Amino acid sequence: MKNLKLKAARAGMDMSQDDLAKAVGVSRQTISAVEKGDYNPTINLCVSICKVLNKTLDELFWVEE
Amino acid sequence: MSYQAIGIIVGLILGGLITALILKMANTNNMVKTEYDERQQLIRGKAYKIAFWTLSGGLICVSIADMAFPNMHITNYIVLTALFFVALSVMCLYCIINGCYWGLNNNKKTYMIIFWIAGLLNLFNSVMAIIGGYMVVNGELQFPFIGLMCTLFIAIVAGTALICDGRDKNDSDESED
Repeated sequence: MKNLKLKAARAGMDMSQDDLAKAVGVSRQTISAVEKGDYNPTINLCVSICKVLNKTLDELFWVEE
Repeated sequence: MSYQAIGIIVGLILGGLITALILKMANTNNMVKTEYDERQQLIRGKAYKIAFWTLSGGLICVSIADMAFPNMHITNYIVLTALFFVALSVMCLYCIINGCYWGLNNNKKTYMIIFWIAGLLNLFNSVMAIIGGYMVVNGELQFPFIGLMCTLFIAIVAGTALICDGRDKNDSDESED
């Protein structure tokens, strides 16, 4: 399932995938895979992304039924 | 121990040292070890597994062929090295196709230069061996054939990396969805 919340939050901060990747210390392909729903990140990476984007885990990663 | 064996051992040790030095220069943080993120480590783990089974399967096939055709001397170092290159290619291609070809601290341009130099050096050695007539002696492939396999391996890896690099550029922010 695509993570559109993450993509929207990143775009809201005017960051590219590459910018976010560098800020959290992963490759751009990993951010792309998370946004596309091809890869489930670990809790550590989720927390790092949330901190950079000033969001909570719920706001970015909670899947609503 | 023969002079050829001593030469190979010394060459391997020197090669290892030179490789470590080049890797240190090619990585942005001057470390020999390439750093990977969590997704890349996962992919590399799967790639190692696939390469392991490829190599195991290949060795079993070669062993059976050696038993079935004892006069053909199938189990020689050329065949075993070829199997190693096949397994290595499988591992590298799996990593490349899954977007795990550059580590976090790799300088892409330096690595591409290293690929080109290594490929051309191996190609030069292979061409010289073919011209000199010592690639095949008495119908059997000789040691320089390993250089040709190395050239082929580098060409396959570099070619696939270039194709996947182009694919990933289309997958950037602007062209998504």
